[in-house]
Amino acid sequence: MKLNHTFSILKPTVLRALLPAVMLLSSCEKVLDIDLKEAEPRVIIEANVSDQPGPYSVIITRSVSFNETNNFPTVNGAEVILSDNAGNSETLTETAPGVYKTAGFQGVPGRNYFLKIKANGQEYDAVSSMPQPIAIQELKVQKSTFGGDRLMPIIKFQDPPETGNYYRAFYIVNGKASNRLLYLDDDNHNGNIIEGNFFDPDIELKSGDVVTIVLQTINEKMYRFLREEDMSGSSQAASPANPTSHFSNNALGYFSTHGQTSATVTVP
Amino acid sequence: MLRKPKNFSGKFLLLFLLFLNSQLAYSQGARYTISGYVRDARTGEELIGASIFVKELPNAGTQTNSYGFYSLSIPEGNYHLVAQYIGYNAKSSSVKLNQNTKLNFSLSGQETELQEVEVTSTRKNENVVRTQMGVEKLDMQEINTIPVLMGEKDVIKTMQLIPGIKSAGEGNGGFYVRGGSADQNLILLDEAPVYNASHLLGFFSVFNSDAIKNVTIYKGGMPAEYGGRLSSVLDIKMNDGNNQKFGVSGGIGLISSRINVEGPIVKEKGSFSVSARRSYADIFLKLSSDSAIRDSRLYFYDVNAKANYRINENNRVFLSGYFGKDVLGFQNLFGFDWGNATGTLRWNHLFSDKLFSNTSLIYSNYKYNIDINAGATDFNIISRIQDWNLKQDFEYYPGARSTFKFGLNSIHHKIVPGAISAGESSTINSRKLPNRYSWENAFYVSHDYKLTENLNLAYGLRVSSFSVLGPGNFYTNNAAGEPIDTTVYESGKLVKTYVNPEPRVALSYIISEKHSVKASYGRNAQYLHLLSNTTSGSPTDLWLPSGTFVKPGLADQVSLGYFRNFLDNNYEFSTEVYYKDLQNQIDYRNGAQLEFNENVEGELLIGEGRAYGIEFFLKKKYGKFNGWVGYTLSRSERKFDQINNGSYYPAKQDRTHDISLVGIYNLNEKWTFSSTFVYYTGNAVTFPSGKYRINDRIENLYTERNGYRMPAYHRLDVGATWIRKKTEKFESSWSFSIYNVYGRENAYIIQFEQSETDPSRTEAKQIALFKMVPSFSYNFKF
Repeated sequence: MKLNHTFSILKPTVLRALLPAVMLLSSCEKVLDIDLKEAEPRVIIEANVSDQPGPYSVIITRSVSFNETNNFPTVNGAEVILSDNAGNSETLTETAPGVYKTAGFQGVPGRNYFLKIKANGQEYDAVSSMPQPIAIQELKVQKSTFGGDRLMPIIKFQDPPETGNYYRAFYIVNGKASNRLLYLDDDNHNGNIIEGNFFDPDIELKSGDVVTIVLQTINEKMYRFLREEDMSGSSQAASPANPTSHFSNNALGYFSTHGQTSATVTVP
Repeated sequence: MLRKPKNFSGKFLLLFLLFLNSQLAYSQGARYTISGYVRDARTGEELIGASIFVKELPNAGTQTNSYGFYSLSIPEGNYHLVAQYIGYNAKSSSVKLNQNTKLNFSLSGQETELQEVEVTSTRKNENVVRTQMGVEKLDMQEINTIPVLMGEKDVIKTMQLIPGIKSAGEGNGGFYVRGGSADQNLILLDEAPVYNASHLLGFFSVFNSDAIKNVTIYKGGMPAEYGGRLSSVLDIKMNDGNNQKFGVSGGIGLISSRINVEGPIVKEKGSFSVSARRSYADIFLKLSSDSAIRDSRLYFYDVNAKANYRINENNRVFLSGYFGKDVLGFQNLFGFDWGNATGTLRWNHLFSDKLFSNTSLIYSNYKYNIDINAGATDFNIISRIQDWNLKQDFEYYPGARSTFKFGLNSIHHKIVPGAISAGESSTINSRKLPNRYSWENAFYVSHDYKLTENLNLAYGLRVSSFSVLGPGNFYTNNAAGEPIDTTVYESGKLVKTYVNPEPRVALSYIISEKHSVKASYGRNAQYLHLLSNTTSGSPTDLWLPSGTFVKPGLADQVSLGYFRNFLDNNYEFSTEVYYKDLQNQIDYRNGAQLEFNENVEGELLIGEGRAYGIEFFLKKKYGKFNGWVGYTLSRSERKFDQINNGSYYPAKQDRTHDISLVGIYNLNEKWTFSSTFVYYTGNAVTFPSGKYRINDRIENLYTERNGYRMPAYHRLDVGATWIRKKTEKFESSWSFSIYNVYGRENAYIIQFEQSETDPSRTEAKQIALFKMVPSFSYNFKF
């Protein structure tokens, strides 16, 4: 699924894999103690709505300083309202600290969605459209084409004839999702049957594993967010930056409204 | 559209006539011209930039041009002419001048520099008296002695030891001149632009020092014959070849082996030189027990070839070329290769003793090719930039105190941004981004003039133009970089033409033989921009021509300098202060998609910049112990509306302090020792000031661009050369070096990621490339 990365991964991959081996030298690593500034905490929002039955969730947290532990304070007691352009609207319920869920709201492809969040006297808004879902035609697990005996899931799906389709996928093994960002545009495969390979160096598939692939059709804004998020952590980027937020008022985050399909297979 | 250039050339002619008039005003009385060539006595190669002066006329003096030619017109009389060149014994010739005279000099090299050779009546204060500032010439002898990574002698790496020229870091082939970015350097190999000067992803340069005769770098105040880049010109000239006898030289090193063959085509009339080099890292790969490494390919090679032939006294032709390639690959699943090819055909013609002409037809091509063949993912990508370039240069020497240079240059650029061709069973579509065509033209005129005995003036004007040619789709983007309008142009149609006058002025005042002050101003325009948003650059970085959205970059630089020699010119000291204003600079939107994007302009931001600094340089040129100390204190900043709230911020290459020390010690005829030390402030970088959780991942939170610094970089290298045998027939030597002697772990990158020991925390991890690297090589010559 990382075809769009073919170019940008070349150099780091090559450098790390080949050069040290060739020069019979290994690069040396060490942990640095850098005096980093402490950024003002920012509101972080993750909102997902799909065409599948709910509940859909909105998670609101805050950022922390880099040197603190990975405990991110939640934003509690917010008013979260989800609505669409067909006149439906629902106020979400906080089911756990910082986690807000719908009860009866149903996403429908083709509609536009609006999210309005009021927290601590501030308001954060976002708008998003929901693309049509696309079915996974086939999911199989086979040996990697890149040599070795590593097993890799492969899916096939039909990209629509018009350009501008964007995909996000989740690679789930025995109920646990890989946290690698998997996304694809159709720039290079418009109108084709697309074959997506899934590769996570931390996952070693074995017989009996249950593999589920979730395929989301996302809009361009969401695709861009994922791409920018992915690049924001790259040590090869000359000028890393935060992904462009979907929300107003300096909150950082995304509002993804997507069509969703999935397929499951047991590794033979 | 055609009218403008015409208009300009009219002005140009007028200007030139004015020059001639002013010249005629004082050329009364009987004057005759002495002209000729200055050559190396052993090889017959012409010497570039050798000084010629007349003992009896302290005001009269000149230098040989790029082809070793000089011309001096002085009143009738009896004179002693002296020709000198660094590393050679000066030669004096007496002339009874009562008609136009040809006088060639053959200088013999100083066999060893051990004896402090004092040739009376030579001038050693060239750096004090010449008008040009901001220029450095590299001595090939020094390049061969100074220790470098893996023992691969490298002009680009050695050049970075000069103040104002900064290394872009390890694993990075680029360099920064006076705060400019890496794509603002014009790199010329026998006049052909080299678009990617790196081998092995930046560890080595494409210039095989065996093939190089002369290296000159201009950091500012470029003469008007150069243009097209904002920050510097690196002018590399290839060896012509020995026209006296055949010779073979070569070397076996840790990384590569090289061989050079040269000799006369027709003795004293023509010669050739062919140099080749190939790395053999891939042979080590074969030894690996790991099949993934064993099946990998990784090597580079290059070939430099040159031939010249003197048809008669007034005509000479040269043909030179370079071809090089890097190859990376893994089985037949993945292949990646890239390389440059250049070719130059030149014709030197003497219209008279005073008017020298050179006509060059130049070809330059850089391309990369990626092959992926993994089942349904089966495709091939190509991209290239290709130039055809015609240059006509004239040099006119009307008197003893004046030189005119004028000429024109026309380049056709063809850029293939990318084409994917997919295999039949591939799920990827074949796709091709439209080619981009453009036409760059320039004409120039400049005049070097000795106003008085102490005051020199060099002034000139270059007028450049750049036309974007159809066919193609030209997008108009909104503020967010999204296309709102597209205009389609047919083949050959002019889409947009830019014209930029680029005035260049330099003035020097010689206070005494020992010291001088100099000032210069110059404007440069740049029409091609390199898109690269990775820290160390990549062979896939794309050249983008100026167009409807990206305007030509402009730089105005003023500089002032003080030059002083001490202890009978044994020590040269200079200091230069500069200020550079930059317009139409490029940066990228967050998450910019630069690869395979037809509307790549939509991912760019346009802003401005400034750079200023002071450079100090102290050099000991002669004696058993020689070398230099360089120090630069500088700043380089950029300003974009969309970055850091539109305020100035440090550019990546902003380096407060930069120190370099070079020492060479000639112990005896057998042994030479050398050492270099560098220290510089770390690059400006963007580090996170916080973190957040999203998509089940912990991501870095950034607050500003380039708000942090990499750790300071410093390194000490040592080297030794042992001449094992040296006779008329055979020479052999060993070179030893240790790179990074005290094993400083200099940061290559710093990653911010989850801690390996404590998953509840994040940490900053530094990766350093080279600790201590010893190397050796064997060199021979017969």
